[in-house]
Amino acid sequence: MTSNFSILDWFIVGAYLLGTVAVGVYVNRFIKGMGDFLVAGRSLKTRLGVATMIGSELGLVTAMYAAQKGFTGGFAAFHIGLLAGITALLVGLTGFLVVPLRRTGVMTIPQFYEHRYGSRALRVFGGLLLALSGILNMGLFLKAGATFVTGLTGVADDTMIKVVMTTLLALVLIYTALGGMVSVIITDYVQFVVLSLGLLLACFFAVTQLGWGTIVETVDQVHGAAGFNPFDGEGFGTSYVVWMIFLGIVSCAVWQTAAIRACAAADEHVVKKLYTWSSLGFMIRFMIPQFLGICALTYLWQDETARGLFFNADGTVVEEESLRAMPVFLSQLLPIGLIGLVGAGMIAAFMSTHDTYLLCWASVLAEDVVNPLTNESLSMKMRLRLTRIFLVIIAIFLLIWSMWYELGQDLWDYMAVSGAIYSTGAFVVMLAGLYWKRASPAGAFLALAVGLCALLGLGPVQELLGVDAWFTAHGLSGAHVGLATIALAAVAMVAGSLLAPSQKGGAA
Amino acid sequence: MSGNHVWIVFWAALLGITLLAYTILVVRVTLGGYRDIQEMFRKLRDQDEDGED
Repeated sequence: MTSNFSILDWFIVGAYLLGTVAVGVYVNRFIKGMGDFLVAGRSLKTRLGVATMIGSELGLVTAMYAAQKGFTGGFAAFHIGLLAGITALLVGLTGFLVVPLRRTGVMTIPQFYEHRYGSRALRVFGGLLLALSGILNMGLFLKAGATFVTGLTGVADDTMIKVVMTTLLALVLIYTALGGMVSVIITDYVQFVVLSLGLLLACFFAVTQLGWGTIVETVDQVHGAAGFNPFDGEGFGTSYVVWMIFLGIVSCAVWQTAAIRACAAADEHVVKKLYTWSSLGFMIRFMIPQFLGICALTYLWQDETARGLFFNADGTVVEEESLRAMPVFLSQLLPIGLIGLVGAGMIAAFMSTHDTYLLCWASVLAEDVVNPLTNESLSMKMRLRLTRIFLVIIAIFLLIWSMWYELGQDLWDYMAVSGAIYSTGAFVVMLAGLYWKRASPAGAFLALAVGLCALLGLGPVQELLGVDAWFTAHGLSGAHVGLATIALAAVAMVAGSLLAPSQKGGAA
Repeated sequence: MSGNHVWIVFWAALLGITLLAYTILVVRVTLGGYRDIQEMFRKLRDQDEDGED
């Protein structure tokens, strides 16, 4: 299928990328210390905070996995966004987790572990787990980015795509290493504006060209009742919905890339406002791409040639092609110029997610693993240099992992499970640390360690251990493994804290 | 299809409201965020000058 992507569209994308690097070079002059580099001197205000939070959370990868969920799950996939929005709103209105976290004055979650539990070893262990989980979680970002670029532009040359993605990663490295959080905030803001505009226009074009009635009819034909009802066992099912409630809380309040926004906020009042306003963004980041995924389903189902590529003879979706559906659809739907704007917005989104995540995991490794191991003896200059070295090492790992790992499941489910390695244990450790006085370091260690059980939710890990057939036979998915891991982590925390109480008493 | 009618109406209403609210949010955050950026640069510049003093 040929794409509408033209020379003018390439020009729009190129101009945007050059502008982004210029921002990194410009803001480098403001970076004088670790506080400026990691949390922008704690100078983030509400409106910019909302833009930057949505900017980093609504990335190209988010758009890709959300669209894939819309394509494979129909309207029922909207429950993921709805629950993400509701949980973020509740966190914003109540200040649950994020306000007491901001009150501690820490810059990272592992720092909180040491602050609350008084254990440096716990901070290092938590930092390692967080970095492992976070880096694995972003392991397929490049692959998703490459799939988007090939689908949208129609460029099918594999080598060319690898060159483009490596260049994009290099650009992200340059401006993140130079400007730290300040350049991340600026680029997130620009990306928020460009991508939001592009997505809203794309939705308008999709509905006017396909028609609401045709969209609903096609979802009914392909997915049946499961395409509308999220509790239908043929589709998502109740366990999956419960798992999404937990992920909603985690992704806004516990996941380091979002929690760092709470840490960077000017005060506690801003934290609450930031989350209340961002709740819409947490919903949008799923719902708009999911809707585009549903529109892609409609368009590709109606097109005879495309139907043969994206659907099996029995009308079911070809899973391996589902990730590519949304960009292919956009390449057919959008006119010249607008396709460049959406392309630039998406590639900007790709870069802004990468910059936030790279900076986040590199700073966790430098600040929460290496620095505590040296008894906090590293100079400011050395810590900055170390963070920049980790940025490069993680980027190289991502290039290799993206090419090697076979997905074997929906991208969103891979990300949910890889993130759960950290988030299941961390949720319990944060919750108990902030609200339960008797929570002890022993309980925290056990809860974090139990989080590693979430690895069992990954298809290749199940295959490696020879238990994949057992999981399939019992109908167990990543959602079941994730929910079981949270329950185990909670039990481990309570048991550990009661059996080995804190020496100095609680500090909640 | 009729069994899904409630869900279809619900998702359609949610999508419509969300798109409208997001459009308003984009306008507000775009304009306000620009002012916040200027203020952030001013604050960082002031901190820098205080540090040099």
